[in-house]
Amino acid sequence: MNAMNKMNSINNYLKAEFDSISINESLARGIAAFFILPLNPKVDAVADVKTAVSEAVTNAIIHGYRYEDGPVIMELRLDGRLLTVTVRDSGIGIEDVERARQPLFTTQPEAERSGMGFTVMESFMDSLDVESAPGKGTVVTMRKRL
Amino acid sequence: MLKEFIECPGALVAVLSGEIDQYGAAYLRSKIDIETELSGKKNLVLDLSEVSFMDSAGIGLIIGRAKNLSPIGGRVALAGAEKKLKRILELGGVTQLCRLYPNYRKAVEDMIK
Repeated sequence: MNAMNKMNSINNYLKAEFDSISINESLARGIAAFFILPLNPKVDAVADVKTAVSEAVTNAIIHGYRYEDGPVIMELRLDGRLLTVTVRDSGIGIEDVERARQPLFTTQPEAERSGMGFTVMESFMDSLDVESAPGKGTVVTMRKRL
Repeated sequence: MLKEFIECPGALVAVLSGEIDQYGAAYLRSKIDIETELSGKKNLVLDLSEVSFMDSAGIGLIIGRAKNLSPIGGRVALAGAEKKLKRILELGGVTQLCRLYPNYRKAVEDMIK
């Protein structure tokens, strides 16, 4: 058994702040994948985390900031094998969070958005919490036991 | 990313690779639409065998192409999707709209029947 397999539990924290540009979607999910790698998680779990992070960061960029400049802050925390991901923007916020969380709901059908972002986050992680108000930005918190 | 287009009898095959997210989706969409128009084919096969990651932007891309081709009696088939992609395809309802095949040749065979 190599050293990596022995790391069943880690406490760690990482905070990343980046510009709201679309190329940072892959950067953010890459960071998240590397962050959990020492736990030697299952391939499916890594794919789930990457997908959920990608959705949250995409939302911040295209909905929160509507492609305009602004900081996206991603925080990753490991408590043992519990991962907490927080993605925060200071953009326009969401008027009706409950409605936004409904599958297939989108404000940008012309851009062929599927309206599945929150549904993906909810399905691929163990929990999803969305805090938002118009003009106050959005904070998405997701947890998953790895 | 877009690797190549393969013109087959009755269908155009778009071979995609790497990661499909919001960043790359708009480019893929326009390239595929232009090539579909030029080829004159009404059926499209998206070969996903070299796609390592897809989020809901990929779902939007697939459903959008299916909606475009449906009025002219065409359809979209998916080929070679790995297990990890199947989860998001199922969640997005894509598997109810498009059939999945093990490879693009099987998809094309079935589409021209």
